[in-house]
Amino acid sequence: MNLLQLVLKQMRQRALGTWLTMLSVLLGMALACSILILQREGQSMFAQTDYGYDVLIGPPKGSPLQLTLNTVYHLDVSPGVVPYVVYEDLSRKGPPGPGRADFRPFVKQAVPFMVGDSFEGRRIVGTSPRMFGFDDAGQRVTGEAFMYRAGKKYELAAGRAFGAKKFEAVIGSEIAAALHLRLYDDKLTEEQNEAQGGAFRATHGMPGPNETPDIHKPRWHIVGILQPTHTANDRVLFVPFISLYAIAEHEGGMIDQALLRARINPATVKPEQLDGVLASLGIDPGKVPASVKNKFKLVATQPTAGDAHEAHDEQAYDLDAQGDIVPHLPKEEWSLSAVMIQARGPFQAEQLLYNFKLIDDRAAAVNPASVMRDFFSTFLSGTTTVLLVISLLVTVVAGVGILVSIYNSVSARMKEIAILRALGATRKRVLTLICIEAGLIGLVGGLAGLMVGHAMAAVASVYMNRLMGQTINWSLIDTREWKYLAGVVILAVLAGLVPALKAYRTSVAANLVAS
Amino acid sequence: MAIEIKQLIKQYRGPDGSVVPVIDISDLTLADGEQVALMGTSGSGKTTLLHLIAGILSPDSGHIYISEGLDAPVDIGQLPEAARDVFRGRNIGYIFQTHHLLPGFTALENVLLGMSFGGKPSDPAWAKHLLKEVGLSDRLHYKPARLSIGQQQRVAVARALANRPKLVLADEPTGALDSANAQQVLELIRALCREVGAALLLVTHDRDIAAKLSRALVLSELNLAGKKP
Repeated sequence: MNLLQLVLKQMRQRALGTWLTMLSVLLGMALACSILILQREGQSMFAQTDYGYDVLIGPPKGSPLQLTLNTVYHLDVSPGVVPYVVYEDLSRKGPPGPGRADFRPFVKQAVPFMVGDSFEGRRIVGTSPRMFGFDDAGQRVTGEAFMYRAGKKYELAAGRAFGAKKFEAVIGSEIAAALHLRLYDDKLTEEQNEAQGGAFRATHGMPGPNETPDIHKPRWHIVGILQPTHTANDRVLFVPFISLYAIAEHEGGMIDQALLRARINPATVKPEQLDGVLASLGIDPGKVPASVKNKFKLVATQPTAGDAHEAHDEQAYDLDAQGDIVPHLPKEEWSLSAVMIQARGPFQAEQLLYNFKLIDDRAAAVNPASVMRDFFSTFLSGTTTVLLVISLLVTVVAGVGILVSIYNSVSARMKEIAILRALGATRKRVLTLICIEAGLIGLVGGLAGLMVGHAMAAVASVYMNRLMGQTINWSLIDTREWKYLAGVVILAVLAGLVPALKAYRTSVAANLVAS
Repeated sequence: MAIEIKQLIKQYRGPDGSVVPVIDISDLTLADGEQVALMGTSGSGKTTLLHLIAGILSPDSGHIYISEGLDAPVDIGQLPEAARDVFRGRNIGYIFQTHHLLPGFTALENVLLGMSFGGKPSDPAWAKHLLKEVGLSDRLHYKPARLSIGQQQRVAVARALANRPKLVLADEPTGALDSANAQQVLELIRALCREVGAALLLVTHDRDIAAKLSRALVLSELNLAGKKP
C-alpha cells in the first residue's frame, strides 16, 4: 500500500468532510475562474485591436466611447449625426470638386452607418451594400471587401445583398433564428410575406416596454441572411441607408436637426416662418418637399401620436423607373450616424484622426481600438481586479476550511497516526501523508472549480449571445487559470501543513497507551 | 535476531517535576529465534521495555543491541528517531494489547499496511497467507467493526508478521481474549514466529502461557528501578 493509496483510503473514510472541504475550494476556484474568463474575454471583446476598420467618423461633439459602443457593439444610443456630405467626401473615388476635401490618399473604404429604428427590439442599421462586398449596382467590389474584424468579412448564408435603393434587408444570423425570419417569397403578397417573416416594417426608435410603438409604413423585403459572425452584428437588420430617408418622420427629423445645428429650437419656429428660417440656413425652401414641410408643421403645431401617424401617411419618396427609392428629402439634409473607415494604412488612419481633430470640424474621428482600450483599462480592468481580489479571499477562506477540516481530522486520528508510526512510518512520512491529503483536496476541488467556472462561462456565453450577439471563448483555459490552480494547490498544502505538524509531533507511546 | 540489553535506564518526569525511574536493567539477553515470556505486575515497566526495544522510546542511558547473523549489532537506542522508525518497520513486528487496527481499512488492507513502511514491495499473497493461517481467509474484506475481538486480534497478529520481522514484540496480546481464544492466538503467534524465524518477546500475566514459551522472565527480578537506595 503506497502513500497515495493510504491517503485516498483516509479521505474515503471521512468522505463527507472531504467533499464539503472540496466544495469550498471548488466555489473559490470557480469564482476566480469565471472572473479570469470575464477579464480575458472582456479584454478581447472590448479592448480588441483587430477591428476590420481603423477609424469611426461620428458627430463632432459626441462621446468617442458612445460612438464606438453604438457603432461596433450596437449598444447605447447614437451620439448624433454627421452630414451626409462628409460620407460623400470620404467615399469619393474621383477627384473632388472645388473646395471639397480629398480623402482618397487616406481612405481605402468608407461604409455608411445609420441607426434610429428597430424591429421587435432589434436594431435596424442603414448602410450600403459595400458592407457586404457589393457596390451600389450589385456587383462584387474589386479588391478587399469590407471586414468587420481583421480578416473576417460578411458572408451570406442565404440570398443576396440588398439593392442600394430598395426596401430590402439583409439580416444577422441570430435574428433570423430568434425571430423566425426568412427570405422574401416573390410568390406571396407583401402582407403574406410580412405574416410569414419574409418582410418587416420598422418601428421608430427603440420604444420602451410601456410605449406605444410607432410603426413606419414601408415594408422591407428580406433578401439575404448572413452567416454567424459571433459579434453584435448577428443581432442586426441591415437595410439601405437611403431607404431610411424615405420615411416621412425621418425627413421632418432631419429638418429639426438642421435647425438644432443652427441653435434654433424647432418648437419656436412657426409654420409660416419655416421657409424664411430654412433660407437663412442656406437651404433652398423650394427644394424641401411639401411632405416634409407639412410634417414639420403638423409636428410643430400639434405634436400628438395620432397626428404623427397622419404625417406618416404622406409619401416621403418616389420610385423611379427601375423601382429605386428617390427620397423627397434633399440630399443636403441627409445625415448619417457614423461612417466606418478602412484606411490605407496605420499612418493614413492617424492622418484622418488629426484631420478631423484639427482641420475639419464637420465630424469627429476616433480609433475604436484605442477608445475601447482606454475604456477597458479605466473601467473593466479595475472592476475585474476588485472581483479577482474577492475571489482570492474566497479561495483563502477555502484554504482555511482545508486547514480546519484536516486539523479536526488529525485530532480525531491521533491514535491512527500513532499506529502508523508504530508500524514504522517516520515523522516525515506522516507529514507528507497529511500534506498530500490537503494538496489532493486542493487539486480535485480546484479542477472541479475550473470546470464549473468554465460551465458558468458557457452559460454566460449563451446569455450574452442572446443579449448582444457576442459569444465568449468559454472553453479556453489560459495560463493564468493554470497558475491560479497551482496557487490553490500550494495554498491547500500550506493549509495542510499546520495539522501535518500536529501529526508530526504526535507522541507514539503516549497515544498508543492512552487508547 | 538476538537482543542484548546493557545498563538500560529509562525515567519519566512526573507532573510535579519529580523523576520517576521506570526501567533499570543491567543485563538481559534474548537469543536468536528464542520465544520468551516477560511477566510482571502492572506498572512494572513491561510496556516501556517493549517500547524501548522497538525504538518507540529512546533510553536515558544504556544500550539495546540488536544483532542479526554476522552483521554488527545495532544499538537501537542510539539511533536517530527516523532511523529507529525505519529499523522498526523493517525488522520488528509489534502486537498491542488491544488490536489497534485502522477502522477504515479491511482485514487485508490492515495487514498490507504492515508492509507499507518496511521498504519492501507489497506482497498481497503473503498477506492473504497470513490471514489464512490465522483462520480469516473468508474475512479478508471485512472491516474491524464487523469482526469479533478475537478475530481482530488475529488480524493484528497477521499484521505484525506481515513484514517477515526478525523480532516480534507482543504486549499482552491475549489480555482481552477469553481463555480458548487466548490459547488459539498464542499458538498462532508462536507458529508464525517459527515460520518466519522471528524471536518472540511476549508480555503476559498468565503463567500457563508463559510456561509454553522457552523461557519466562520476571521483570521485577531484572528491573532495579525504584529498588536502589
